[in-house]
Amino acid sequence: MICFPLFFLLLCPAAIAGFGGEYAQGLIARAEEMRLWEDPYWLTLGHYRPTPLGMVSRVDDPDFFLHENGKTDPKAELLLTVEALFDPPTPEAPRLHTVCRFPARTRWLVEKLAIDTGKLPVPVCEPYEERIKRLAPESVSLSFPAAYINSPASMFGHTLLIIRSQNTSDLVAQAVNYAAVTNETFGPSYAFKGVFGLYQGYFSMQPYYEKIQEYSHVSRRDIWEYSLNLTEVEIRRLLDHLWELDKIYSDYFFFDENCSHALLYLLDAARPGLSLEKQTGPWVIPTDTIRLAMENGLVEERTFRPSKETTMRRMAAALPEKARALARAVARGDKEPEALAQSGLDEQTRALALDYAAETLQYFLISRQVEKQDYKGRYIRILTARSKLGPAPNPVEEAEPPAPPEDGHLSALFAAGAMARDGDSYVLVRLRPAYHGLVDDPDGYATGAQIFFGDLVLRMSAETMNWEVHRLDAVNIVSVAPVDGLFSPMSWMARVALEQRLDSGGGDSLAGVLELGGGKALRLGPATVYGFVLAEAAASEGLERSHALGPALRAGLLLQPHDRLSVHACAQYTHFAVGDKHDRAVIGLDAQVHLSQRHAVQGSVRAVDSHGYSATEAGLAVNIYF
Amino acid sequence: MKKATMVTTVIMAAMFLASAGFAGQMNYGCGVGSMIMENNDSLVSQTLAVTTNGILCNQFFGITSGTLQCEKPDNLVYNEQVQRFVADNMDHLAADMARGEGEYLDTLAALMGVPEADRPALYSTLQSNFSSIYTSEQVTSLQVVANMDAVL
Repeated sequence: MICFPLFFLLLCPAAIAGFGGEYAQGLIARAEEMRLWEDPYWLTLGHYRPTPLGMVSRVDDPDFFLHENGKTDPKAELLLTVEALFDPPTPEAPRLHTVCRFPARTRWLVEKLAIDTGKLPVPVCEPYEERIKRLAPESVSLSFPAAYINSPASMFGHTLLIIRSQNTSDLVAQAVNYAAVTNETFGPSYAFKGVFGLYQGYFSMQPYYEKIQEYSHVSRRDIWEYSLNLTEVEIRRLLDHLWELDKIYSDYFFFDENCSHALLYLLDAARPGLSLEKQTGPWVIPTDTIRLAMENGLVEERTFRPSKETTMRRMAAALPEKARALARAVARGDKEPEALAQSGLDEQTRALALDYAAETLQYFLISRQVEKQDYKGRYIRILTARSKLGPAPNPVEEAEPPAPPEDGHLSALFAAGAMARDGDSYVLVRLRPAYHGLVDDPDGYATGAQIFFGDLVLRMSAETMNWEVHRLDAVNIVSVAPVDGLFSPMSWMARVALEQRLDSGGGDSLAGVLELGGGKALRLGPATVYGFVLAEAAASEGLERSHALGPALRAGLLLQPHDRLSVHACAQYTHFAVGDKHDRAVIGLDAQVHLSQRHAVQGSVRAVDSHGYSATEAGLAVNIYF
Repeated sequence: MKKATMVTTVIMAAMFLASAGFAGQMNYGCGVGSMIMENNDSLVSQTLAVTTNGILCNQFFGITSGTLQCEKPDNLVYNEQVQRFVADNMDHLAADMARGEGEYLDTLAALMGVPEADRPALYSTLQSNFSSIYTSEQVTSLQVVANMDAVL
């Protein structure tokens, strides 16, 4: 039908609306009859969650809703969506039509209401179909870049989805990532905004090799990949919903509405009835997402992608000392690659040594230990020498992967025990919502890393039967990263806590404590030892002038004499020079026997000397991880 | 006093916690690295240049569509996908090519449509011609692709 402008204005919309209108009105009536907006799948697609004030969507972008009250009214949103499916085509901006903006909603409504797609003015979203055709999705994996020991930013790990295409390899798969978007560089304000949801989180898609570069090569984090058993139609549903979230923001909250949480909506959209999102607690830790996917029968297979550091370590371990030293000299530019040819080493060893030199040189570039100009020529010379040699052994693929993250102890801890202290006895109860301590079973976690959030220990004196706070570690992070021939990381700790401390009268007072500092760690036989210089501050009514501030020295030793036994000994001496001037010394020993993924027994002994008073305590507790 | 101590502790904790945990969720977009490493087309590949803080380059479903400086000229020896993959992974690909195996080489072969059975021969040819493909430190990704074409 050809419309003259006048007619177009007057007649065409009316004709379309009238035609679609009657049919659409029938569908709306049916939707109302079915109370379709109460369907869990609709609530998933809208990211609705029940609150005391009714349903509220977690999506904050107004563009995600057709109805002005869509964020809080799933019914209005659904009914308007049905109506809008019959809007006239928008040829100048096809992507703005409802069918194009909301392919997942459209697909589901068509199915639920048995809509005759022939009656839809835009029966199919061409731009979207075109993209899907090019993507040719075949399978989906969950990717988990594990924590890197010395990077606080990575300590919980991260999760993203990988969409593999037909006839290609993983490297060129598409990585689906949910992240907060910001240009903020000022730490504290960045932190504040992250916790209180002042950043906007967006989904993005990029080639997986870029994420591998970012996590595995630059951040030196091992990556675990879990292939999911999503069917073709489920993958399609996932992408439909992802498309709906293109350029749509939700406020990003570090604890719960984070990278891992957002992915759960995609999986829930992929497989109706899955409701992973509903199974999450008040905070979402990436490892728990993997466990959730496994418990819900989504995971098919697990693979390990060693980080650059793991790769280099495995190569180094497979080389004799002479070859290793030569390779490092070549990488540093002290020797030419030809030096290896005159070394008398066999060809396979020389080949591996050059592979190792190339990896090491790349690491130098990433860690800015070499100038880009020097790097380029040296890199080409190493590889040219390498290309003249035959195959090398592959120590990277042959090595056993470490314990996977989901096999580690569960991330929350409850413990109950008893403590004796200079003749008094106490009952102890402990709750640690997250995450891992130096004497917890290291399997599945980064070795030498400790991260506590909200670790609360209550004690009840057997004599007075009164409960009080023994210790509350709001944040307690320790990173013990040993220096070796290759990497020379800084070890460090940061602690913000409340704890009972010996006061100037020899009794116990609750004190706010801040400890911050760092140093170096090194391996000494089977043990790792560390030394830190710290700044320590304490605030308490039990201190003269209510506060004390001073430098501290701390030394510690970590040892795992057996798979099932971890030991940490440490001593700290603080010279409080400001406020309540006094010296304080603490020496302690913690040991834990790991019984299973859920159970352990922990013992500790501690002696304190402060203000000329001293106290000795010994405790034993049973740990239950959940 | 106790209350003040507690409140201060909690606020400090929150700050620290967030600065610790948050930075990991940054997004390193496609264009960021290439804008920093100006000559992204020569040996230091784009993906080796990821050292920046988050600027979003939303390549949503943008598998081959160019954004920022990701765009490549049209005169491609092979297909656009090969060209872009080589440009973005110059360094890793060079290492694989020199050793005659590896995931980057497998990916290249897949993008070129070489069946698995023919790959060992391909890898061996590329390895023995490495110095005619990665000719110098100035070599660009376009030249690498053209050089590969010449030796195959």
